[in-house]
Amino acid sequence: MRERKITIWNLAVMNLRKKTCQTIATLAVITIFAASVFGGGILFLSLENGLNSVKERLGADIILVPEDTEEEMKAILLQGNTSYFYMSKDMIDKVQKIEGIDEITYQYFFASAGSACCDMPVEIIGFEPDTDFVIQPWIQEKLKEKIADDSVVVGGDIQVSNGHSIRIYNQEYEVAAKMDKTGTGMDQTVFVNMNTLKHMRQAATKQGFRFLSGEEEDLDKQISAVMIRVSDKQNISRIAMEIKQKTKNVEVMISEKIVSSVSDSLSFIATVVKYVLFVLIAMVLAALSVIYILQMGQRKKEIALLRMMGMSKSKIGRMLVTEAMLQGILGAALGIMIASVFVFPFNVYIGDMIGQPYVQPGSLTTLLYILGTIVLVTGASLISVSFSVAQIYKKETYQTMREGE
Amino acid sequence: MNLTLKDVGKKYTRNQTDFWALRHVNLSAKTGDFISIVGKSGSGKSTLLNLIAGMISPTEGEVLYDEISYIGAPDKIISKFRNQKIGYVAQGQSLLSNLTVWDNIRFPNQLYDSEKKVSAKELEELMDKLGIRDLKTSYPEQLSGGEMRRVAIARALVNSPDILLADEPTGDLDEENTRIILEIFKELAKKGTIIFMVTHDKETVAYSTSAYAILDGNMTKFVKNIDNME
Ligand SMILES: Nc1ncnc2c1ncn2[C@@H]1O[C@H](COP(=O)(O)OP(=O)(O)OP(=O)(O)O)[C@@H](O)[C@H]1O
Ligand SMILES: [Mg+2]
Repeated sequence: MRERKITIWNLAVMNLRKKTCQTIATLAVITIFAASVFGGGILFLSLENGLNSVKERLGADIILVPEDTEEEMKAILLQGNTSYFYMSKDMIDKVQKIEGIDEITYQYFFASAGSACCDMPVEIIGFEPDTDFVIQPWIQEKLKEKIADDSVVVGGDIQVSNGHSIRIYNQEYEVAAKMDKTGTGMDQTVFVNMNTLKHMRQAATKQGFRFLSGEEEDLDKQISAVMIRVSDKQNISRIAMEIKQKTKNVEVMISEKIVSSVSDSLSFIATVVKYVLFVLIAMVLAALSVIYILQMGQRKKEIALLRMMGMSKSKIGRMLVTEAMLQGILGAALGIMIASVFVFPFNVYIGDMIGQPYVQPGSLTTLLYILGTIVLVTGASLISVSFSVAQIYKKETYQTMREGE
Repeated sequence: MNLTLKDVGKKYTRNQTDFWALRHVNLSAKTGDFISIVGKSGSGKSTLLNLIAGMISPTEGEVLYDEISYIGAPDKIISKFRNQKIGYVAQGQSLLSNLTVWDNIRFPNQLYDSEKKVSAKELEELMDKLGIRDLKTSYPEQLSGGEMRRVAIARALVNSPDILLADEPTGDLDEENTRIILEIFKELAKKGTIIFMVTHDKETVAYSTSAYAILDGNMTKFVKNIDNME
């Protein structure tokens, strides 16, 4: 025999258990609400993180790429598309002397063939260690010394099968470090110095691959992009103009603009998310309030009975609040779990689908967000039930014991 | 305990018009009184019990328990008083449908920490007396009308109240159970409980020590000869 005490808590639990249908209906509303708030929030946070990591990772103020390859360059930076394009290395000499340029370096893009290496083709970026100011400061987080010949640093999404090496064009390269995820194209990129890149090219050519940039010896004369850092940020557009005047067949990209195109679409999404959330909260508050009030209508007699047995109004109020709180917390937990099942395992896919830099928040932020969702959802449930609780205090109908009620 | 109703009246509002459900009620009851209340449907019998239980407050007049009025007292105090001193067997189905029979019966005893807790054994004895011991783990929806009524009676008695209010307690019971319950009431009254019982049945009235009829004129009247009650 159960000799459990009948506390307000137990009473609330018994009520919820016995009224299964009502409980499930209410829970469903709360769960959908929680799932939307949590899933939408994680999505949004991930986009925001993505933007920040693009900002951090760009490194250069101005990027020069061959004519008509601006969009491809953006895709490499933001989405991890593989592509390659080339221009003459002379470009560096042409712009180097422009006043206000602090540092200048170049990168060479190359792609692994689909089947020869990894499941998917990956972008390979070669850089010049002596002049590079873009890749190395970042790699330093993971690799203290300079990257050695024939070893590679890989982005966060690249699978390193046996833990320490990667096969590209049928040759093994030692993986010196694997970077954290950035949500940008960097995650699907392999970084090497120019010596290594030459070896890769040789191996590829031996296997019969031919490349756009022409013959192997041309490697010394070809580059994909010139990265420029200016000494005074104020001068970026002036320097960009000057480069445009002094060069031909070249696209002058300003990093800030790349970022701002991302942040523009992000702030649009943010506005949409904000309004959707706002409307959703209002709708859920209204729906739950109505649900609770309707349930109160059905519970008039039950409440009168509780009063008859000497339960005070405040205890009955606490019982209703406890029921709402339990439903709120349970619904929040369910909603968070359901949203998590979609949002976390498929984050790479979601990132690709949205086509924006996408970086999942860290575990602390996620935890805070989980707590926030629980508080918001439970709060909504409590606010909604408060109208019903107020009725107990207002109406005498909840106090009499009459036949037929 | 002494209970006194002094010129009590209760006004209700229905369809925007006020009307007196009960007016000029004067009565007093003392320990051991077993009072029957008779009257037509809608004459205010349940209203009277609700007033005595402190569930509603009178529009005029006062209800005194040992000379103390609870009108205007905080809800907490009235509620606790009702829980400890008043047992109420309401009209119709009055069990909590979300609780088992067992939990229903012990519910009033669990509501306040300070209460003297009845033991499982005492509860079982009480259920035995009413013939409902086997129903312990059942839910109200699984019971017959008569069984529900007996559970409600057990629940009203669990805190050994000073006043027992019973609104047609034997309405849906067979002869044997009616007799058993009326005997229990009679015995309780002898031990000092004040009992108010609403009934339509003359034989039932015979068990009580006195009877009141509520007539259409919203008055209460002491009935000496039960046979003239109509
Ligand atoms: N909360 C209320 N609001 C409005 N009118 C009410 C309320 N409670 C009772 N009444 C009315 O007051 C009158 C007395 O009701 P009450 O329930 O006391 O009658 P009763 O004598 O118990 O009737 P019955 O024998 O049918 O149970 C009825 O006309 C009823 O409709
Ligand atoms: Mg009645």
